[in-house]
Amino acid sequence: MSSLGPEAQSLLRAGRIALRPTSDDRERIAGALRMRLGDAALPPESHVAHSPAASAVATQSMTWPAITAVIVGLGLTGAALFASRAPAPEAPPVAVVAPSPPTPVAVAPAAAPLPERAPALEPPPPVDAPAASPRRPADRLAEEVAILSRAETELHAGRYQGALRVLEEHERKFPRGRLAQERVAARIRALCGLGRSSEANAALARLSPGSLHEGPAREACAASSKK
Amino acid sequence: MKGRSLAAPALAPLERAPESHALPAAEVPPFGAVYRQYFDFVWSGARRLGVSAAALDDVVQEIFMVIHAKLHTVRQPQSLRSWVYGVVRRTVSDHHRAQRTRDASTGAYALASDLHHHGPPTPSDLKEQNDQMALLFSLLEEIDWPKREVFMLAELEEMTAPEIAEALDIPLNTAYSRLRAARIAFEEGVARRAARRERAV
Repeated sequence: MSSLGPEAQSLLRAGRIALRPTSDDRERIAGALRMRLGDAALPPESHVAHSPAASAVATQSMTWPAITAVIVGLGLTGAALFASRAPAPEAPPVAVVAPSPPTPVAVAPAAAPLPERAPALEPPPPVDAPAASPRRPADRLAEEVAILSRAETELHAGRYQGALRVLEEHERKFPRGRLAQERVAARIRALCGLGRSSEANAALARLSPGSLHEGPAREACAASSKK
Repeated sequence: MKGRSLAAPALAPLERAPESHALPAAEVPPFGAVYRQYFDFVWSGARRLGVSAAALDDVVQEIFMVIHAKLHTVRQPQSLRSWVYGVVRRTVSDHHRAQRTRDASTGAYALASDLHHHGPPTPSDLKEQNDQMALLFSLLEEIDWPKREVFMLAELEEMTAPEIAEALDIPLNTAYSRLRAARIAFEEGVARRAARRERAV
């Protein structure tokens, strides 16, 4: 392998330093993300535990099933608050992520098992045409996340018909949304929960080949069939 | 990942562990931890992939929205940096494509904005920076995109060869061969500039 000379190395050292963000950049973007995702998704630095053990527990806190679990863990009051706010069409996405303290994390389900093969992002489907909505892409994505989080809530509570309704809403609003594959995977889980296995199999075929969602969807269906 | 069993040639910068990005455990960290750990990587990566300073906030936000939405799909936490780069790459590509559409719709001349045609900022984008940076990016632009991308990930982001292969979904040997070719091209560019300087004196 060829090695680089001193001048080349000097240039690259400068390049590594260049274009780095400032702490203001980091805080500004964090603030914008909290507006969209809620404080629970991105707690302020001082609220975050840094120990490996705490990290391991917190690790499970931000997966969608875990978000659902957090919401469920807050009890009926939180769920009622969530339900009362979520359907509002103009409700900000922050409404779907409960402003939870760290403690409910313990009720989060275990992380999914590691697959044998390396992860590969399936190509995202084309984003809906900008003309379909004047909203910024980030806002559209936030709304997608909000709708699918509601679907996860329904799934986690075993309300599969409700989940299907929410997923249909997502499909109507974002037929080629960025999270379309997630929608299909969630729909498969709902169909399996209802025992509609032939429809679930048909939906499985709609997932991208080698999709990361295929394995978990199959596992969830297998688990449903054993109940 | 393909070709992982191939013997890797000795390559000091790529063989060292990614210390600053090492995760304490083989579990997917929470979103907040991912944000703190990878913010610089995402920011500078998007910038180097040609996102303008004016669009950078929106693009970085969108990248983290996608990470938040898809983090639960990560199955190999030890490959998280590669996974994050994959999100950066695709989101920036979408951004360039959308930018091209907007430019076309307004009749403005649009540069080839697909990711493969988008290099790092051009020297003219870097007026405010020093001559050394302008030289660096002009040298990078002389390298074919596939090789340049590997080179930038290795030399500027300090990613390991397996991480690069993972992120770009290419065989490990391809990552090494592209890097080798890019290093030669970069060194030749440096030598050409030096010869020009000498002739000018």
